[in-house]
Amino acid sequence: MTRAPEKLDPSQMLDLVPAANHAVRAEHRGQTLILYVPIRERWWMRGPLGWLLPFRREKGLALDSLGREVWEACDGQRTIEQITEGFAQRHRVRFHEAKLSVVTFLRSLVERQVVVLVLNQREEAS
Amino acid sequence: MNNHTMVNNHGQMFHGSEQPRHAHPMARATGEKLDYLALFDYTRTWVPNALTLMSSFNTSSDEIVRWMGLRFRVPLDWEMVRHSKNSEKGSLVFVDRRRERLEVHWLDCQNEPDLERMVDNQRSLALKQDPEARVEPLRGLGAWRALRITSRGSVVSRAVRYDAKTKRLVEVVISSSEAEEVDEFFQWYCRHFEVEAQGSQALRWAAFDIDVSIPSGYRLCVAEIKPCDAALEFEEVDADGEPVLAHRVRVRRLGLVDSWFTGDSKGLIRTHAPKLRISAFSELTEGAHPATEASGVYPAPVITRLRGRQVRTLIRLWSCTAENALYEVSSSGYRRPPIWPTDLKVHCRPYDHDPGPGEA
Repeated sequence: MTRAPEKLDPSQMLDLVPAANHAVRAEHRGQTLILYVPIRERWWMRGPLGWLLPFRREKGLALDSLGREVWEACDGQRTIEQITEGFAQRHRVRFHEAKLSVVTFLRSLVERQVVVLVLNQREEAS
Repeated sequence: MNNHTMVNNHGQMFHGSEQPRHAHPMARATGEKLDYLALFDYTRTWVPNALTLMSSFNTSSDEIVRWMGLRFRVPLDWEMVRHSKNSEKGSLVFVDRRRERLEVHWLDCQNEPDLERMVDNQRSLALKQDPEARVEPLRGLGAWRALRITSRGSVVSRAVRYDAKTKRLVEVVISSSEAEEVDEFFQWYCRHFEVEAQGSQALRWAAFDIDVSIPSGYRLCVAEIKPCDAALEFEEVDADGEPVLAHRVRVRRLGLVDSWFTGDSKGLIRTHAPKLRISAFSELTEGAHPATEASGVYPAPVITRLRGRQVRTLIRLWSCTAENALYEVSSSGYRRPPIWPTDLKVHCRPYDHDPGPGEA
């Protein structure tokens, strides 16, 4: 039985550490980085149906240069605050502008199971 | 808590005769549409960690904010998350990285209110809300009358002042926790606070990384604030506050330019104003930057054209490499030909330093 995720205090958001999903495969195509996330194999995908129909084994996600920058910063060490600070300094934007962009982007990565957000050694569902 | 109201847990401060005692006087002033940059609710109580203690009240890097004739300094990582466009009474709210930090309220008052009585009222109110609260007067702040209220682990420093020249009552509220040393910062903040002009006569505005001088007779009518895309729009008004020939000036600043701007200024103007019938492009210099100017008219029915109500527009666009930003400034109205106000000036920060009060 899955445990309901604990509610996260919004003020802790900056302390979360994004960590990349190790099962994700990265492929560089020019300036674009494509991330491939494995799709869970269902029972009906195996056997005869799987021989006849070419089911996808993974789904791709293309990142632009800014997305790539944030993805590469998700090393499991840096907090969202540190990632945001670096992003803001590099691109000369305000911390809060950078935070909004970075957090929105990270949220979409979490929804696609590319990264997880870790707080106090515990994995938190976003 | 409804994010769109200005009522907070700090209670009331202004007790003018025309103000009802049951409502925060600024709540109605900010009943208009407000803009948010914050993703989360900053109003939740939060106890800062050591990192934030260092950064929240750090005045080594700060910036000047000018809004409605008020001029003050805030630490660089504080962000305005709520603002009012009402020149007579309104408020601004700033957050640091994690919580709400500063409120600035203003109110036009023809007669000087009894500041001591207001402070006494505030003291009574704080003790009524929490009988164990510690209320101490703060001295040495010049024209400000100030209090520090310590209650349930949080410290609220608030100061009120009347500016006789502009007939404006101003209040500032700074929130902190007992663990933070806020007194020095509060003094620094009050020392750098200036009332330059009445809200309706403010000639310089600096907020959201936009720093602009506008001609007299203009007032702020639109503020559209999005991440990396902020726009302030001013309209020309007569002595009665009525718009004149629909003349408007709009200053838009777009950030992160190195990641999306290809250098095609004409194409960008066409994209941003797709309905504008551009009659001519010209190249000129804006400050230290080469700029592109487009002039044109918006299509209108024959009757509107015959009545002289066709909107004519001038758009200037330039990029500032030092700020990694692009400015798009437009002037539009019914006048033929469209005019560019002579006193309109956009200040790029690296080239146009704005010294603080008492500084060189």
